[in-house]
Amino acid sequence: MNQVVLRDGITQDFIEVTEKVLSTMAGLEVSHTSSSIVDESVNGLNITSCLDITGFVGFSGGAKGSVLITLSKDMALATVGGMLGVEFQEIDSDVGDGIGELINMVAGGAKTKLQERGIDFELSIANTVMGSDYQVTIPPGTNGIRLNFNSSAGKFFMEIFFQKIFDGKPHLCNQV
Amino acid sequence: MKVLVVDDSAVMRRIVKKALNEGGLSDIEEAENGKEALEKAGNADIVFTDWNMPVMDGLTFVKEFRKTSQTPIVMLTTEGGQKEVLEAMKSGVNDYIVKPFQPNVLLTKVRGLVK
Repeated sequence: MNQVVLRDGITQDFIEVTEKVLSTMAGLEVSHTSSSIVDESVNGLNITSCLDITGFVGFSGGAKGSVLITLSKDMALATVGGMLGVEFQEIDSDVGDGIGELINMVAGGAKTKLQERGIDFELSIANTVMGSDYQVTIPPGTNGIRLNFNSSAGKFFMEIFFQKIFDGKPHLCNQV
Repeated sequence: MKVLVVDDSAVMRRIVKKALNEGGLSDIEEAENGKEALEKAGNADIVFTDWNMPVMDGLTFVKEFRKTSQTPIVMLTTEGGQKEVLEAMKSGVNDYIVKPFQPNVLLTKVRGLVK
């Protein structure tokens, strides 16, 4: 992966929405630390999780793609614990449900911001995968970016993938 | 006062219930989707419903429920676009809250819509 400079506002939209959702709903202050291009491949991409839980939402309609958020155990427990005002010790069905709601709110907020940029799409129902021993395959012709975040509760990252609207136009971000 | 909370996320239903409980509202019923909400909404004084849900989404629920009832409905959703807000309001929603939200906004809506 290559380090990137965020050139337009799309990735910034996702960053701002993520910070707002976690601050408003979970009382967590998080900061974006770095970004990396996820290289496009004619054969598709295989993304292997390396943290403890992933929530994802698909995009369809005017723009096709997906957004995934992958969190460490500590970050996931702090997030859902903050949302509910209770303490969790392990990743259970409630934590899974809460991380699904987290990515749902991030995707919804980003959708609203991207609509204002003329990019319209529909959201799928949010899903969650618990554990780290799995692989996600992204279709060919997909451009993506990974955004890394940190907070006092732990680390997490977000991966954003789009087809079509970014075909041949590297305006999602720029390699340096 | 009876409140119906409709959301496929159990965590989100708990967040809404907690906020309403802290405002003194304790008679709260839950539904996981629009179909279940149609069976329960007849007894409610106000309904908070999500939009994107499996089985029956919130907008379809609103359209169906409005055929027989004028009970206040608040859409509580991540769908914050102008197009979506207008569509919901045209379908019979009384008010609209975009997630994420501050908990006290729920009580403000209840007080404004239920006399």
